[in-house]
Amino acid sequence: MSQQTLSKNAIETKGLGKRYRSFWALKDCSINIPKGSVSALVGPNGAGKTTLLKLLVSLSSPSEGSASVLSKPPSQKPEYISEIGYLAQEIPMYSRLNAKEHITMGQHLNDSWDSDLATQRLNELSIPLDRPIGKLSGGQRAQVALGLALAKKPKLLLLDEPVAALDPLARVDFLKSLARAVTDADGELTVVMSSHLLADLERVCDHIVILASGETQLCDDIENVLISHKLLVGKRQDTANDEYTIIQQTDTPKETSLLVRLNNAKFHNSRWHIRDVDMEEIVLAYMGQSREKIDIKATKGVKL
Amino acid sequence: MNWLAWRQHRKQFMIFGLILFVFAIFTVLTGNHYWHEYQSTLATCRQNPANPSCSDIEGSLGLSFGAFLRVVYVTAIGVPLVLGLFLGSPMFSREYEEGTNKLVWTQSVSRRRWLTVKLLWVIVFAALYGLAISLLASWWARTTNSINQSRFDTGQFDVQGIMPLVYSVFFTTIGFTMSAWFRKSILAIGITLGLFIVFQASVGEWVRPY
Repeated sequence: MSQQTLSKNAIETKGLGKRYRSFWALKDCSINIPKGSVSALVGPNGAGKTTLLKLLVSLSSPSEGSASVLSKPPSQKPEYISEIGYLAQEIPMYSRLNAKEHITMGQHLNDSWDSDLATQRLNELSIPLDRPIGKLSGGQRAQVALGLALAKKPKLLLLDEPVAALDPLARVDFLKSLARAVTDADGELTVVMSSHLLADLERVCDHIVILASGETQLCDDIENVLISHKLLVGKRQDTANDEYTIIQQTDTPKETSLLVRLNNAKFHNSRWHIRDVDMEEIVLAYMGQSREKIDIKATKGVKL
Repeated sequence: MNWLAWRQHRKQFMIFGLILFVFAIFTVLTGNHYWHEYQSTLATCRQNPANPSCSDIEGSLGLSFGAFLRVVYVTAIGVPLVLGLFLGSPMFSREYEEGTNKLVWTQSVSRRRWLTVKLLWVIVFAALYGLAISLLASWWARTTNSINQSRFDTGQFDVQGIMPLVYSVFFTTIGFTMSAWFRKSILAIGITLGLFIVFQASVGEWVRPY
């Protein structure tokens, strides 16, 4: 117990899996997300992002493995849920109730709740508090939902594709609000946000978790990821080497390029040109790796 | 949780309240008239042993008040169904359809409490509503009971005494059970309606005679 309370991680999962009948929505997911980090949870559709977040907030229970969230195993008990703010993918709210009524609802349903904070935030964004939620724009709805999640004063905020349905401007506004909340919390708030829009996530996230085909592929600090992943380009040659792990290999008649994870950041080899890669390339490479058959040309042509 | 339950059902409660109000006015006005008419004609006739048959008077009373009687009875029989369809059936399925269960379940309130409070509000409302309808219908039907000197025919028993209350709670319960089971409002409404028809037909035709 004392060891648990000392954990530096807000989230720890070990071999977490969820099966729906014969279909595994999430399998063998082992991640550690440090306290105070803002993590991007990325992966293709169906990779298990939503499932993972639901397991963490106890809207679903795991078929195997275990999780520890804020040093507690997930449960439906109010004292567990009260520390977590959660925003479901479809941003569900009562469409006939207005924002003010949602804030009142939160007041009635939570012991720790900051109505003033929520009201003030929404006022600053000029969101009409007395208009039914169903009549607000997508961006406004998302802002109200974020405001509600934050009014709980959570230690952990789980956001499931919050910006997916928003136009670019609303997306930027939402991420700004989120960034501000993170700043205001001064390291006390951990955020996990899933998305497939990587460019948006890079703006606010410092940590990345790549889920592909329901298995964790990578979970690390973004800076570390950028340092440890390189593109090696050279003549066609034997690629085996224990100094790196190949994530993606692309062969043309003349040359070979490898996207690798280096075991040693000081890797140097005269047979290869070493190039930096950006986050998008890395994510795509991991996603491509998870496919059973990689159509190399098609993968190479993909641009986000 | 009480706040939310009230806020969610406020409109429904008000519409049902309005219906009750209209029904009450109708019942009181026609019921009074009916009773006085009965007292001054048929009851007087029956009290006089010199009159062997008062069937003419009974027939004319039936003619002039038959339409009112049908309105009262149809309302009293129909109200439990309407409660089941519009109060019970959408109760959980609408939350699932809109995903709002995920909103509430991730606040700091246990699911058991959420469920209990929701159910209590709706069941208590259905019971009180059924009771009110029942009192009005029974009061109205005292005249008919006096005329027929019985209250156990189909269409009589169903609308009097405790029955509207029982049926209201029963069909509301069927409604929200189907709602929670199928998680689709349309399906819950359809099945509740179907069960109501089957139930009314079978009880009236086969069970009541015994």
